[in-house]
Amino acid sequence: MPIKEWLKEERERLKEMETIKNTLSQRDYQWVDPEYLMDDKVDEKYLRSEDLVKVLDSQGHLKILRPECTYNLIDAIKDDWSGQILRLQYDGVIFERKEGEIKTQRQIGAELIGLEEEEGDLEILEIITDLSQAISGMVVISHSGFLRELLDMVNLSPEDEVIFMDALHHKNEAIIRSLDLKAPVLEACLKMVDLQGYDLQEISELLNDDKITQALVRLKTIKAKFAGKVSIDLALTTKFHYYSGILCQVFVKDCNEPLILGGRYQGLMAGMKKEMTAIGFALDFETYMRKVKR
Amino acid sequence: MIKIGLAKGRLSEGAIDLFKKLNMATDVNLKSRKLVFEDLKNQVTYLLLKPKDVVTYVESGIVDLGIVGSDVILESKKSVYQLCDLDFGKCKFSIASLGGNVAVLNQKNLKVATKYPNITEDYFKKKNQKIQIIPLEGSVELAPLMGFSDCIVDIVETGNTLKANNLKIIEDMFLVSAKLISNKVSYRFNQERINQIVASIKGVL
Repeated sequence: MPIKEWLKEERERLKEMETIKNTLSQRDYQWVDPEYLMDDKVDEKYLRSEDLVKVLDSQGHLKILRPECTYNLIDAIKDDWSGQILRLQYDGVIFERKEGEIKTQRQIGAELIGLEEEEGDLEILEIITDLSQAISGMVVISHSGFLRELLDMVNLSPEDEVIFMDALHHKNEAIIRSLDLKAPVLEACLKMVDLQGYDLQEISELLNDDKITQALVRLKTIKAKFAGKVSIDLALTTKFHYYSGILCQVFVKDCNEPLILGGRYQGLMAGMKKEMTAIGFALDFETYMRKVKR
Repeated sequence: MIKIGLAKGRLSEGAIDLFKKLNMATDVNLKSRKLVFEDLKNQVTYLLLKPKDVVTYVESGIVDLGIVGSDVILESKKSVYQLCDLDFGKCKFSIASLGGNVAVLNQKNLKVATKYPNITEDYFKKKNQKIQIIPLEGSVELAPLMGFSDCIVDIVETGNTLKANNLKIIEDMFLVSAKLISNKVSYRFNQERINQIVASIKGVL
């Protein structure tokens, strides 16, 4: 690409980046710069080993190139955090191993720490819906607590659990039917993959579990609050296993991966032996730019 | 305009027969050399693709929907929605050996020749059996004949090719059929139209 054109593209990128960052700065999100490297001691429960890019540092210690920014950011503040509300934003490259290659992705993200759960969820979802509207995105929410309880309920072997989650995510009715699920649970799962959509109340009644009902009520409340701006997909899954409440993804036309991934991650805090309440999101900047260009 | 990728060969014939029952794809002529057909009345474009490419085109969102065998979806390990099981392209995955020798299955380091290494690996992994996969592009029946493998994993429709090469089925794995698949993002943005197509298809199956 000629230098002139390349510089023009870079200026456009910078301008878009500034627009996103300003959306966050206007809400008092302070810019921080999380570490690139992580110790090779991360619990597989939170980050999948097969996705990680590992390198040796100058002392010969094995390190991980960050597959996302949240982990290092929380790790950096956890010891000194004493309950205050923190609004943080970052912009950085993440690293992932995919199909035998190292993939990088530029992310802009935000973390809201310390604010009570209901209020925090709404604040982050407001930012996400604002960003999403600018590029005609579709905001889809779910609740990780719902899927966790459902997994307990189906009580499958670890191998079948993977098959079950995959079938739910890919709307594969035949596979769900082939698993040995009890009648009301099977009925609820079939409703979840029904293309005509489903009624949350019906699913709640079929599953008849307090935690599931709580999660569904929470989703319903949020959907009502953001009338017409968010939809619910109970089978929404994520590669990061530390989420423990609201999950959120933003999809845009003609882009195959979600533009924004986010959610509440108390599970990560518990893993770090810290009682913290936190929610955040990360926006895939390259996908965002492709969409803006179109 | 909804774009539908069809796996070339017998599956595309089944798919076009199905769409014609719905008064769709009436101008699609599979005997011509064209690869793209537009159905302006129904606002659908059909693309004829290699079976493997159907899943790739759907996953990447170049086409919204695809019709392809479940064998290809499983082998590709790509992430697509499987919206509907279609009533054609039915066959099965089987393990076959020379003369139907079942004892080979108990062999240590079983050598399995196949065009489907991912499906084979997953199947034996579930059985906790270590195997050596010999990935081949075609004529897998030759491998046991030449002493290259102990058995084969392949799709069986009539069983005639197996018989002609002195092979017999020693274990049936699972059934295969044509599926209607969708791109995950495209499905969200065209949900109403896609659901309409799925409902019409289900209505004539």
